[in-house]
Amino acid sequence: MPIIAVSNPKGGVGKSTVTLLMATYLAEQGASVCVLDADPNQPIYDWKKQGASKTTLDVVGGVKESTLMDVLDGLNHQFVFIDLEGTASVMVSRSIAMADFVIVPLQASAVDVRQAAKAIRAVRDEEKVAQRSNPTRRIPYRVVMTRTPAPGAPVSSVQRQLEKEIVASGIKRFKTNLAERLAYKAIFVERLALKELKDMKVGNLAAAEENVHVLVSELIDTLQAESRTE
Amino acid sequence: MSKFGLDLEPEEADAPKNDMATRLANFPPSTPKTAIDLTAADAAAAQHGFISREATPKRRRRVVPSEPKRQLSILMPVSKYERFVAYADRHRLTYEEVIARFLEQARD
Repeated sequence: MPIIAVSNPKGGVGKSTVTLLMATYLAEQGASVCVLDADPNQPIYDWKKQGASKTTLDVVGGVKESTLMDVLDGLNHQFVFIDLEGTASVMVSRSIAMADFVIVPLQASAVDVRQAAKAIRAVRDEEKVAQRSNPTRRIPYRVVMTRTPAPGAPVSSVQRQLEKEIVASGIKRFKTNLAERLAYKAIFVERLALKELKDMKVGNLAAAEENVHVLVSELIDTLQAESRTE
Repeated sequence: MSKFGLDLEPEEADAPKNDMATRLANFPPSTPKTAIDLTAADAAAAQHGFISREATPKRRRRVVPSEPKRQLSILMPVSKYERFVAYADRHRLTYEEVIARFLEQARD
């Protein structure tokens, strides 16, 4: 049961969007998936509770620092995502400490990247702490760039520069970006999964689905590769 | 018979595609949890500005004793303290009742 924390102390970088897209996609493929909504705004808990999606995805809301460990102990899903708040809190650091994998979404902006660097340092430090009691314990992570231009659209010089710096600094990242798509906004507006938007005007839905498929495929490959190196 | 020497053995059927559902089946629903030293984890995170955003749980009002009582003061790590208080809150028990319950469960 990989526990996947989705973290960046900066708000609005796409943590909930990445979490919901990945989790609903995996659930569609037949996996048992749970999202712990650890964001005080409860966007995914609200999505599930107020919406009419037929997804099999389970969502647990109202998770607190003091209850996180007990909640995780009580789950028995193939995949557990923790959607974290956009701030540097004990809830975030504990989630990272308990995670098997951390996804750090970021947009091509200086503020996002600096905050993402904070999350990555926290991952590395939590890993060192965990290794005191368990030398084989690892907390792998990957950065995922969000709201990037759709394939074929012009890429900003800021994004190109950022991608170069990510490579130069040895930060691990997903090769797949999550493009800016109308459908990714619509899932929260309509409170439906991506596949359930097929009769609505939400831009190029096929391209949006393909983007998520490729991103989740890379996630699965990465999780399998990381588990082999343990 | 082919004039061009293309009488090849028929190719074997393609191996089953490694589709997403097959790959997902490799992930078990449950794996052993790793024990976490929350005090050390919190201390490491605090260096990067990760601080608690939740109010410290308030102590509960003591009930009027029905028999003579003794004071028990316990110093413990914050993580254990928070788990203890959260347990008491969740089960709506006083601290004394929590300890009594644990003793009962331990049959001591």
